[in-house]
Amino acid sequence: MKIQPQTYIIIKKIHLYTSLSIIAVFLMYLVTSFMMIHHNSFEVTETKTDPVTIDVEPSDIIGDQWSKFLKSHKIKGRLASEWIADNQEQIKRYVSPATTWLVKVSQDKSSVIIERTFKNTSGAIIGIHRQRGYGGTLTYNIFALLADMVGLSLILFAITGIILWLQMLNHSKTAWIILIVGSIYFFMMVGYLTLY
Amino acid sequence: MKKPFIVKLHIYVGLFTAIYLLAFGVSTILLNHNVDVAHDKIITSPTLQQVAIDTLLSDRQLAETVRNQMNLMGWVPPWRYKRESSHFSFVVLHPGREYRIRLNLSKGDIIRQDMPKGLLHVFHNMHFFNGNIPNAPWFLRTWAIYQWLTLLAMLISLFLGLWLWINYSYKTWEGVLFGVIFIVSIIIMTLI
Repeated sequence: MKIQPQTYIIIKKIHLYTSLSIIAVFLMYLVTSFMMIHHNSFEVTETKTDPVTIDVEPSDIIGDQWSKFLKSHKIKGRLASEWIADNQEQIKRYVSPATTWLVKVSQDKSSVIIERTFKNTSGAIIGIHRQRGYGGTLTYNIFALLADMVGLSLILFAITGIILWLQMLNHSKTAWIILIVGSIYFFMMVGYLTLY
Repeated sequence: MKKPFIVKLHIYVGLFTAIYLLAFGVSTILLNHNVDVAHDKIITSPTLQQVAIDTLLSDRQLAETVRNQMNLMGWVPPWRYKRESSHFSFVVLHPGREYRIRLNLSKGDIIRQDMPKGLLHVFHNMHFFNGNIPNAPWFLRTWAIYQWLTLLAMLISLFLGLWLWINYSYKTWEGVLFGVIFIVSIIIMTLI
């Protein structure tokens, strides 16, 4: 099916702009994927520091004071999870690509224990790949938006690419073979893992 | 290099990665919004199985030995081991299925529950899959080659596309706009 020249131009522009807008993040994902596949060459190590106990007044860590407390103790990550431990401590886990902070607030809110875990350079770079979700500071929210843009762009990029190919080179047997063999291989893997 | 050749090459490597790109696109959005797509439907196996066990083995060795005797494909994550006085429970996991195993330590009897995760879960999990699953058939291991080739093809496709853009349809405002987006993205990734 032939599409109108004007529609063709729009699809071509979508294909171009979706790729151009995500180059930096896409390159980061490509490089970190390579590092994750070859994890033996890019070993990730973690170093845990001794826990630091801070005596606080309950009013120091309630409401707006909590973000000031985090800032004064240089806890820069995004809140990834929080839970209540068996001893009723409230535990919050803050994560940045290079560091994880476990912040434990005692039940009577009289003390806070901070545990830091640092990753080496490989771990910190791969940590950017593993960052996800909205929440936290503006920077984290912009990164989450970039991640969504990458996801959406990849879908649009692939679909528009196939449409453009069908307009330009649909008689090429080589192109059909590449697409069909690649797709059969992919879905064969997905099918096998689903069934067995 | 001639334009038609570059266009053809761009199309060929692009088509090679098209399905994988679609899967990555979908799973990136699912991950970013923490969407769980597993349908967690338990199918209890009607028959019991029996295996030979050595009670002197560690939890990990025991889980691996039982998995191998049952000829199941998957990892045996240590955080899912549960040892009671007369039973040992663990799971065997792979992207498409979870097997819940409960072993009677004195008799070697096994009760197995299968939990298929569904097609969408597997499709999403291809994001993390590297072809390496214990007891997997050989053809699943070829995924590592496909994955590596896909990364290479994506990189080639990207640079060929950039070459075509710069040489044949470049406009100054596009260069400025996407240059700014590129730099801002780098700054954001450095700041987080």
